This record gives sequence, C-alpha cells and structure tokens, in this order.
Amino acid sequence: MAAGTSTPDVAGAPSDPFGGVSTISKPYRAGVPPLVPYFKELWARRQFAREMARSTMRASYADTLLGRVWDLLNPVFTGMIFYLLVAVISGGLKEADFFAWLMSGLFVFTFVSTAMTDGVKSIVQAGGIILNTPFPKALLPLSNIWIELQRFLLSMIILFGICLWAGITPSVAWFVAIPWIVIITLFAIGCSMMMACAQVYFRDAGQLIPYILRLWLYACPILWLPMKETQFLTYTNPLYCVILGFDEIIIKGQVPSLATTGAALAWTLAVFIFGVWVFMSRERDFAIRI
Amino acid sequence: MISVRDVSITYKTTFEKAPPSFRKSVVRMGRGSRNIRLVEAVRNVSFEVYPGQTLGLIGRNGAGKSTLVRAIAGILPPTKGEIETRGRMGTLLALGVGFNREISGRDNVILGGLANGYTRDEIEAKYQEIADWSELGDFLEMPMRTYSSGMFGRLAFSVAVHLDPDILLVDEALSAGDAAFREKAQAKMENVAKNAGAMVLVSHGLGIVREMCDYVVWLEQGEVMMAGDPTDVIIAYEENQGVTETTITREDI
Ligand SMILES: Nc1ncnc2c1ncn2[C@@H]1O[C@H](COP(=O)(O)OP(=O)(O)OP(=O)(O)O)[C@@H](O)[C@H]1O
Ligand SMILES: [Mg+2]
Repeated sequence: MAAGTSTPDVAGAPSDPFGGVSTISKPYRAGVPPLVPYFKELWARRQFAREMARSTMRASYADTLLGRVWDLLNPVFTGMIFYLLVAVISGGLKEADFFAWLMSGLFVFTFVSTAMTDGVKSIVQAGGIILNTPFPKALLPLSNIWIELQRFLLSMIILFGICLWAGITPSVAWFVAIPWIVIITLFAIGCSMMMACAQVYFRDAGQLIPYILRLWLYACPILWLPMKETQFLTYTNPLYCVILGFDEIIIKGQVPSLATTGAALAWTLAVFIFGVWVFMSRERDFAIRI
Repeated sequence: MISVRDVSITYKTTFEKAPPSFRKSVVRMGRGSRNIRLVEAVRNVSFEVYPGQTLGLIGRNGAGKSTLVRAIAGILPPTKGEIETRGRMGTLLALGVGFNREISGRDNVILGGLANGYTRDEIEAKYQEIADWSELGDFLEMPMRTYSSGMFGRLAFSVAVHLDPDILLVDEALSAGDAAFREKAQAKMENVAKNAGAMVLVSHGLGIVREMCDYVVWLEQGEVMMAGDPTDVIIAYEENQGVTETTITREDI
C-alpha cells in the first residue's frame, strides 16, 4: 500500500506497508510518512529502481546505431560546442586548461540539469505505473538519477583524458572528488524530486525549466572564471560552490577551501532535504492528480 | 480480508473543455485560479470481503469500479473513510504489467514483480511457471509493443496469480482473452479463491460474475445501487440497463 497510508495494526506483524500483512488506508493529509518504514521500503526495492533504469536506458538507445557510445559522445559534443561559443565571444581560442575547466563544470551542471529535466517528467509521464501499482513513488526520480549518475561517471573518464591532454598532472587531491561526487548526487536528487513534485501541481513547471536552466548555466563558473564582478554569486547561487569545489579538485589539484566546502555542503543539504521532504509529504496525493 | 468503510474518492484533475485560449489563460492567471475539476468517482461505499470469498463489482462504464479497486490496492488514498486489508496483495488492474512497452515481456514481468515488493530471486523462481502458463512462447523475448491486447492480458494475469497473493484484485483482465484462456483463467481464479484468498472481480461479463462471486456490489455513479446475492443483483442490473437476460450478456464479450 502507498507509503504512509498504512500502519500495520497487528502487533509484531512485519511492517511491509506495500505488500504486507495488514494495512489501513486513510484519507490523505499533507505530511511526511513514518520515515523508518518508508526508507526500509525504498531500500527493499532498490533493485526495482536499477532494473527500471536499465530498461529505460535500453529502450532509449533501442534503435540507435551507436547505442551507449552516445553516453560518451554527448558530453564531448556539448563541451566542444560551448568551447567554440566561448572562443567566438572572446575572440580567440583559450588555453587548453580552460577547456578542461569548462568541461569539468559542464559535466557537473549536465548531471544536475538532466536530473531536473528528467525529474519533471518522472511522475506525470509515468501515468499508468502510478495508477496500477502500489510502490514508493520516489523510486521513479531515483531511477533517473541512477542513469544520470552512470553517465556522469562515464564522462569522468573523458575528463581524465582531457586533463592529461591539457597538461594537468594527476593529483592526490583527486580522491576528494569521490565524496564531492556524493555531494553532487545529493544535490541532483533534491532538484529532481522538487521538480517531479512541482510538475504534478503546476504543469507550467516543465515549460519554465529550459529557461531557468540556461540562466542558471550562465550564473555558474563554467563558461567564465570567477572574477570580482561575479563574487555576489558565490553564496547566492546554490550550485556555484558545488561546481567551483569540483573544479578546484580536478583542475587545480587542491582540496577546496573551507568556505567553498561549507557553502557547497549547506546548499546541498538544504536542496536535498527540501526536495525529499516536499516529495515524500505529497506523494500520496499524486495518484488522484494525474 | 478486505474491509471498505464508508469510502469516498475524488479525483482532482486539470481539465479544459476547449483548448485553452490565450485570453482565457491570461484572465485565469489574473484571478489566480486554476481550472481544477473534481470528479467524485466513489461515494460512501462500504463492504467487507472475507478470506475465501469473492466479491463481484459491476456497473456501467465510469461507475467507479476501477477507482475503488485502485483504492483497495493502496494506490489511491480515499478522500473519506478508510480501507483495511489483511494479506499479501496481488493486483491485476487493467494492463497491470507493462511498465515499459519498449522492453520485452520477460523484463516487464521482472520489473512488475520488483515493483510489487518481491525479490529478484522470488520472481526468477516463479518465472518459468508464469511463462508456461501464459503460453506466449517466443513472444516473451519481444518488446511488449508487439503484443496484442489478449497477449497483454494473458501475461498480466499469469503474473498476478502466480505470485501467491492472499488478496487478488482482478479488473477487466479477461475481456481481451480468447475462450481457452478465459476458461483456464477462471479455473485458476477459483483455485486462488479456494486457497483462503479474498478476491475482488470487476467484469462486464455478467456470466463469469454470477458463476464466481459470492456477493455482488452494483455501483452507479460512484454509489452503491444494490448489493447482495449475485443472481438478484445481476437481474436488477440487467433490467436497469434495458437488456434482458440474453446469451449476449451471459457470454463475456
Ligand atoms: N485519472 C483520473 N482523473 C480524473 N478522473 C478520473 C480518472 N480516472 C477515472 N476518472 C473518472 O472517475 C470515474 C470512475 O472511473 P472508473 O475508471 O473507476 O470507472 P469504471 O467503473 O472502472 O469504468 P469501466 O467500466 O469503463 O472500466 C469516471 O467518471 C472517470 O471519468
Ligand atoms: Mg475500469
């Protein structure tokens, strides 16, 4: 049964609200379902999210010649196009390490932005599944995140190649990238759940997203290097320090400064907790609004 | 056991009669109101189904049968009242499997099982039985978009009954099946019902409802019009519909 609708009422009965022994389904009130059973349920069905991701991916490449090679080609093409754009605007090709800077920021941004564009569709376009199967809806945006994370990790291989080509020497600090990727992933999950939920209530959200994302791209230190004029963005743009920290790790081979780490962590936790909270407290209401 | 106590369910759907014109949209935005339509699909319905019993739900198109079954499955929260269920649920709602029409029947079976909370091993163990029973053969490796509606129904039904449910909800699953399949499905359902399971059967095939159900609820615009002994309710329903007992209504079309 849907999460939170249901409370096991037999003492000692397994608390499996979705397939379980005894459940009572009551009217919906906005509110977070009991957290422990919810996450238990979610964890129990992690295989579903993975399988779902696998089949979505297989289906989306079904008729292409190159198949999953596109996972590698897409980020390369996007990066080259933006590099050209910057070259045209600034009137001349920039150094190789600027290309590396651009790519590393762009990969992080792409992870977050695709999480949002896929997240918007994840509930509203799932229609039939939501109306015919009881399961924690959070699995739908999460299975998208799983796909995006895999693509992001693949693009890290490209980034590694670019760094070598640009003459950036591998550094021990690169290991810090691992926890940093966890931060990025949490950020993406928060964004994706927020958008998934927003779209159920305001179908205009999906229309707005492309513009928000483009504006957001320009507000991140990706196509430009931080300067005095852009300082105001450092703490006001939620993604700024997340991207900057990643750049510092990869390009400069440094552990990000305390201020950058603190801001990145604070924004990420805020986005993650808010996103998961709105989603979870509303998900029971989704089925009657699709 | 299923216990439905005074349940009402309302859909909230955004709906425009005509395609939204630009002017109307601006006016609406100015008022800050959005066009939300409330559809009261089920109103003040109560009944109980005990283990070993089969309940039939009948009523015209749009009467609220599927909505009620979805609420019992825990998919739709009731707007009012409460629903209590005991036992492991097997749901066979119209086109219950079919997560992704681009992937094979086999993958859909696994995906459907995982979504319903079974482990991969449990499903793999049952898979052969499911596949054999559905008699789809090589089609199980084909994408589901290549299936006919009857093939869809066969697979969905096979999944639902083979996962050992204590409660079986069947919504319109047999309508597209051929005669052989329907006979087989009916035998299987009787079997599940006998194994102390509770079952809810939604069907326009009044013949099968009369044969299988211990109790029938007739819904009309979301409300219970009549409930009780299958034969009585079905006769009243047929009279109301303006069709008399003919072979056409007896056979499931
Ligand atoms: N997702 C939805 N959003 C809004 N209204 C809906 C939705 N699904 C169904 N309805 C409405 O709810 C009412 C009951 O629909 P339901 O599907 O339960 O009917 P039914 O009895 O199963 O009909 P049928 O015999 O055709 O299957 C109908 O008026 C229908 O228009
Ligand atoms: Mg129906």
